[in-house]
Amino acid sequence: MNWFKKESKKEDHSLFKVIQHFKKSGDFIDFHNPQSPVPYWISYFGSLIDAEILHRDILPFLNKSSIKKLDELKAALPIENVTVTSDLEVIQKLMLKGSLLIRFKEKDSQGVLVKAEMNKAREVTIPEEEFSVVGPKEAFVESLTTNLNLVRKRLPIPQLEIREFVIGTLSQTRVAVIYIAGIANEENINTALQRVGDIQFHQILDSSYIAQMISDNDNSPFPQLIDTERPDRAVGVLAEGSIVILVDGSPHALIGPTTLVKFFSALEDYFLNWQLASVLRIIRLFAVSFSILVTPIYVAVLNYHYELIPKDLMATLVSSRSFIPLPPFLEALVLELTIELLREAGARLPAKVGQTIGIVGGIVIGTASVEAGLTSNVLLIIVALAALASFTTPVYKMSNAIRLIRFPFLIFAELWGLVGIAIAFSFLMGHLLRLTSFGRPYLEPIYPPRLEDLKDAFVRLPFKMQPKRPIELQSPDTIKFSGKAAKQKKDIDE
Amino acid sequence: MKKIVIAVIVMVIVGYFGRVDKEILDELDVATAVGFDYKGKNKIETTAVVPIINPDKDMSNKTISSIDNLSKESLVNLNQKSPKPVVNGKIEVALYSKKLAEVGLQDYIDYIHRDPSIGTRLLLAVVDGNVKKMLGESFKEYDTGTYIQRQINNNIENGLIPTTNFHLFLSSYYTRGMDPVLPIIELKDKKINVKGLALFKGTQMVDSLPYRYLFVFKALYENIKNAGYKLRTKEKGKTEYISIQGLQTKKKFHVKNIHTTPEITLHLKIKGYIREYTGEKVTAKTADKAEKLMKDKIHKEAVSMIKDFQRSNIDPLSFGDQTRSRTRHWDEKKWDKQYKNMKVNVKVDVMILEIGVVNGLS
Repeated sequence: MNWFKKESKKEDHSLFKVIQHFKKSGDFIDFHNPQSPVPYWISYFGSLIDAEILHRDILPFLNKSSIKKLDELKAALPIENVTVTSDLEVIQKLMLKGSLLIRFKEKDSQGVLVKAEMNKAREVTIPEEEFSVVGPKEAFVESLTTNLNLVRKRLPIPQLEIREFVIGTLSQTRVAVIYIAGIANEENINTALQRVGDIQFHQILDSSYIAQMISDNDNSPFPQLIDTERPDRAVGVLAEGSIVILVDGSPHALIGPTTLVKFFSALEDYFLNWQLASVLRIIRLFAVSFSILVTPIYVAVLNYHYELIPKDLMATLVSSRSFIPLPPFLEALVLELTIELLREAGARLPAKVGQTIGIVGGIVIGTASVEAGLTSNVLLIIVALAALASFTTPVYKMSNAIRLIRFPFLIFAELWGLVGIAIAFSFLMGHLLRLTSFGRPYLEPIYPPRLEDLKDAFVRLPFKMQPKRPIELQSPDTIKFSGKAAKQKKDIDE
Repeated sequence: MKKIVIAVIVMVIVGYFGRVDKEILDELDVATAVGFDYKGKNKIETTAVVPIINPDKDMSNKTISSIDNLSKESLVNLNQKSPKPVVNGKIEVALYSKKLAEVGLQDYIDYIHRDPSIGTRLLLAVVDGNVKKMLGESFKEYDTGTYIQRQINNNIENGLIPTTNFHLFLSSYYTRGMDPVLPIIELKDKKINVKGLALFKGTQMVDSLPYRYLFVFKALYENIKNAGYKLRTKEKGKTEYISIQGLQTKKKFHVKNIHTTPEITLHLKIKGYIREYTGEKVTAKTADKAEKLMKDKIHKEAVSMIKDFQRSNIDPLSFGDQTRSRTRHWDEKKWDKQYKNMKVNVKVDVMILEIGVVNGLS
């Protein structure tokens, strides 16, 4: 906001000067209508204005009215959000956000500001990253107002508080911090508000900017805030006592404080029955550990621990590797990088070409490299499975982190075998133990151990068994509902 | 920052140069079996079997052998004769020639015992004949080492070889009041044949037991889960055979007069069913007859077998260990004196559970 101040201080700050300055922009319109009962000047940015409001509501009214005073006009206009002011700063700001300025004299120092901003946003669509077969199919869009509507209509309670900030000296992005007063922990709220309020940056393009700026440890490869495009997920965690941050222009909400395990729970887990959901979660966690460890274990075992290989598997391994010129480590590294290459190429290319990349990568490169004797087919299967397993993580940013930490594991496995994997694992655990999210421990139900929170971590027990909010969030109102009453099932004839 | 950089550099240097040597799987000759032949005083011939895995998963194997004084030293010599380093982490069978076993296995077991990469589930066996020749034989399904290991294991689980491996051998060797046993195998018509059981005193083979006594021995040695037994009877002047299958045995020791002159009673319970009978019909009477026959036969064999053990002063059935575990301050010397003349009673109880599906049962 500083550049406004500088300018208004330097120049002789009359409203007319401001309008003259704005007129340098091609999309600024300033016209005068001398034929109406009371002649008026109206000025606005054509690119920010909803022309329908102007043509349907304002122009017909002005052309007929005989009001001569701005205050009276304010009262008479059939539109809310009308301001009368002579404060140049406010006028500038509002006009840049899409307000019309109406004056009765060309060089008036006062004007009526009518809000007529154009709200062109994408329609609410089906979530694409966090798609679920069952459950609601609405996703956040780029408009903050729409997103707030999606949240608010799911929580029609007075306790839902939305604090707005304007961040970014250039982008002037609206950021909303949402929580339920009385359920969210005061300390967490203050942390979130303070961190968001303290952001010093010129431009916020997406919520990931905010996520990187307010996370506890920005040197960690692990995301410390969940980002979701599902309003139902956002509302679900709000009710548990988390804080949700929405950013104008971003279809992703940020959720904090959070724990590592929550990154591996999909919202669909709550829509399916608990046995199925638990199995799916365990499969997902297994997939993640598989994805991180399987290639390093392959390298370690083939390099150092031939004793560990079952004798029946030995023939398969040896025969598949017999013509490979590369040592296991390089072989694995080349293949891992190839898969990353394919993924990256697929992500950068338009969808139609992306499919071709998949075919080229999967079939042509895969089979050809095995037939040419550059990679063993056992490793090809292992690497492909590991890549597949890494995509089971519901949160995209977490699956990226998992693919990244595989490489240090690979190097440690090459250097010290299984001992190296153990060392790498202890480094990883040390890092995760130190990590926090909004000051709350990241590895929570495991350490510090909280038996109560384990009910919704690696497995998801039935709802009636979870009458309490997670301990991790330190909610002042710990009881969600009466567990005893929920366990009773009465038939109507009892 | 400086500290972290220094720490990383130190870690990389120490880690990279201070690590163990790599043993990349496909650049190794992974031995699956090792055999020792007696070649004169203090000289042995070590033979290692290495499977050769071809890209089309075809199995063949090669043997490498060298003659030397020490078994570990001969491993170095094996390396000299092979294009790839010979490693012994996957050895599953160690074979000793009968001659070597009679001289004593002490020195040659030590080699296996000391090597941390060799597991104690390794199978040991005594070979009647030339070990090198047996290991040089190729069997179609598996490489020679795996083949022998599988055959012995199969005989342990479903046959009559008492449970044996390196761990049990060592345990019975070190246990006071117990002597180890090992199976004897031989090469017969290009097949491996289980010939009997080698009985050891310490690490020296002193006696052997032919295959036909193995059922009784195994029943006295451990609980059998599944085995078969054949009986011969005479009916109406004709020799008939009864085959009893699915045999399960349970043994129990009772020791009387522990402190003065111990007297051991062995209770043996045998359950099984009649599978085959060469005679006319299997009836309840046949079952009764079979029960009695089997009981008498096993009792006779067991008593004479134990007598033999006592005569040659070996204790493979761990009578000493059984009394030791029941006595505080067990006196080994006293036991050694008493053992030869100790009274051992065997009580056998046979139950034929069923006689199979019989049509027109009268």
